[in-house]
Amino acid sequence: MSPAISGRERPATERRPEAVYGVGTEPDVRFSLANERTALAWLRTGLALVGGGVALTTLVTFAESGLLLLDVIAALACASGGSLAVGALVGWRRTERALRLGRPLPAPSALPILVVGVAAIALVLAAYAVVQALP
Amino acid sequence: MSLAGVEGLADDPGAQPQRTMLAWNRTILATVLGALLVALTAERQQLPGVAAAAGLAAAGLLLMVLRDLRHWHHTDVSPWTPILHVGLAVVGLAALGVTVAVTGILMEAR
Repeated sequence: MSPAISGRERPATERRPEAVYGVGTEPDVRFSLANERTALAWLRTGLALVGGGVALTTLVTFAESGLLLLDVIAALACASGGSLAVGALVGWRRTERALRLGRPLPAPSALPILVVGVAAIALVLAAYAVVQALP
Repeated sequence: MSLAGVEGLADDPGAQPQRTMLAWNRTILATVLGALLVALTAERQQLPGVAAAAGLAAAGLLLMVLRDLRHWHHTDVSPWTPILHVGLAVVGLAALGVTVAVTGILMEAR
């Protein structure tokens, strides 16, 4: 490698995963960094769901009884948080590939699922709160 | 880090490398706090095994990702390894979270 070649033009095979770096050309650094931050933001969103679910479980342990539903919701929130983390990994790979190939970016496929899921959890919790408040 | 000295980002007013590194900091912080929350809940449910697993996972993750990020650079280096490690940590925490929730269901049913 001649010293005139900057780091960005190094052979792509040195970087993993090869399915991403083996194709296309180097995109604008800023786009790659934005893709990295997006993946991290999805990971934190997944973590928020896991944390919310675990916090709900803790709340249930303080109650006397009859909070089975909350534990079920907590388990679902934790499971969906894990799925979002997997989605973050898959999404990073797909976007980076599209950036390198100059193709249109893939749609955020996890977004509709997240919105529907969070709305469903909110509605169930609200209904539960109303039922509990009734005399 | 002075932006003028960063290759390819001299005209970038957005401070991209710093923002990305701060995003890493937030993510690691959130993951470690999440592990702490799982450990506390497991401790409350008298599941010392799960609590220990969460605590060890948090310590291991911190060391592993900090080691990955020592080589982080805004060009030339793939962020895949640290992203994969944190992603797997979140999946592991989710599994522990499902465990404590299912334990709660079983304790209710009893």
